[in-house]
Amino acid sequence: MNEPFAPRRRPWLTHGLVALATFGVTTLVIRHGVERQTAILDSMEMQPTSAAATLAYAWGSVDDAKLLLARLIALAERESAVPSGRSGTAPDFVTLRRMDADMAKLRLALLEGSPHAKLASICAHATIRCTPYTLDGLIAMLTKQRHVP
Amino acid sequence: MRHKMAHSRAPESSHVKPTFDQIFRLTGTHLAAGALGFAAAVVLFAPQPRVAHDDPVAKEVLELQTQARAAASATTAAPLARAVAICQKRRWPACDPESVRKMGSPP
Repeated sequence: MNEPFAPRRRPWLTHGLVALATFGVTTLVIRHGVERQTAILDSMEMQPTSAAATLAYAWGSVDDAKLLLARLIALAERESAVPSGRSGTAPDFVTLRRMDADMAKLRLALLEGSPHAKLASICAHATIRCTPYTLDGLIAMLTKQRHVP
Repeated sequence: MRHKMAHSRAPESSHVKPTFDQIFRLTGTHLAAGALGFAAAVVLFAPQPRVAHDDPVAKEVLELQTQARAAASATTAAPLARAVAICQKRRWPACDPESVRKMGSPP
């Protein structure tokens, strides 16, 4: 009656299999979660700098605005350690980050008093809807956003 | 033939009716094995927490924004005074109370 109930040969085989299966499933779930969340976390990490840069551009000194815009561009353009595993329905946070970087580049160029050719070059490489026809409107909008000389 | 049938039968242990204690132990050890696999995966692959980079300029500007917003909506003078003080410390061009209130107003 008190005979062992588990198989006598390799009694730890099923335990090993259970441990291995749990390890595999957990690893897959963690990796999938990290792939999905990295782009969102990158965007969230940018938000304080983005808010500070926006206020500094509108009201701040040129030095502060330039410094914060440069930091924003660096944050927005950094390569993620994990490639983003975007699903079709989720918003594309990588593209949104690039758009933020393009707007910051245009603001920085305006602060630096760059020539129109440089603005057109940024516009040509931008992910935002910027064409030679809309560039002047965009420049006017960004100029209006700065309330101080 | 009889020899073959004897070989093809299930092992003897499968005919033994397990006691509650045996089932309890076996289930427990399998759950422990599962927990061990889970813990190993978490230790090896869990993402590391992100470390916030200290940015004093952004910190001050964000505090200015918070105080300016409070000044735009509150009747007390303290947030406005604090916002003006930060603005002057950062040497921004427009640090009069009216401009600081405008900073905190929605665009």
